[in-house]
Amino acid sequence: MALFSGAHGSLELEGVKIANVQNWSFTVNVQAADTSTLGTTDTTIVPIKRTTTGSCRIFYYQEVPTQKSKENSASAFINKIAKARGSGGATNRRLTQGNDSADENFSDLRLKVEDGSSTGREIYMRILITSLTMAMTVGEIFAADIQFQANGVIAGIDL
Amino acid sequence: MDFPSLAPTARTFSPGGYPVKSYKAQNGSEVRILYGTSRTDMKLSLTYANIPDASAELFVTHYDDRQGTFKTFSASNLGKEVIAGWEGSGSTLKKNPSQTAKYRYENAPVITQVAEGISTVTVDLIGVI
Repeated sequence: MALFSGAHGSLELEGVKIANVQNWSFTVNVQAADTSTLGTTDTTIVPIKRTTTGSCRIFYYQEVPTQKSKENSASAFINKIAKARGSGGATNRRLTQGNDSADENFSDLRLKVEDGSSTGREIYMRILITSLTMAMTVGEIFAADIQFQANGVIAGIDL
Repeated sequence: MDFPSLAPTARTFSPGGYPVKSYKAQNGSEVRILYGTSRTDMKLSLTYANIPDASAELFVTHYDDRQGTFKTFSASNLGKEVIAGWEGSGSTLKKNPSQTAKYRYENAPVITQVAEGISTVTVDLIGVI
């Protein structure tokens, strides 16, 4: 029997493995509509909608001090949701988070369990980052707390 | 064709009233004339929340059968499911004391789609003689 812990977890954003992930989690909720009628004593329900959300925590780091780590760091998430003014000082920036050239709204996210097999186990979804929080605190490592929501059904699951 | 035999999820009933005409004199005194002894204008509003679309269609079919608000149907045509949960006399919600009232649609059923294959239907009936 094999059990898994944080040491077996990893996370890929847009196909790139993100370093220094402290944790990830996901939650699948199914919304139910009440179908109880007058005269009944117990609630009856019917499923009507499923929502997948999740969160992760990425330490902010620099592989080489003074040089910003880009592709595989917390910055990969930060740059998707937090945008600076565009050229010419435009005060509006699009909310797309995927591939800018393709004008994609969503990003590819894979939450992985390294089980020793060549591909590992994973849940794969197209996500919108719905929240990013970063707090600098004495005694704690600077990190990004990220929350996301899947667009539509989960793209793939092999857990 | 019978009214769909489904238990509603909410029901509102108003017993209506009697055909009374009131006249008020200049000194403030009121005279009332009763033009009939049968209670009428009972309002029965039914909500069927989160039912399958196929069940929702039954109300449209029955509405067509009654040619909209034109034709009436007997109060006994409202099955026992319509008053599900009511522990009083069923005739209280369905009939008037003289048992002369019939029901018709006050307006068209309203179908609200809430999810794939699931709809909520509201039906407003009015008792007439």
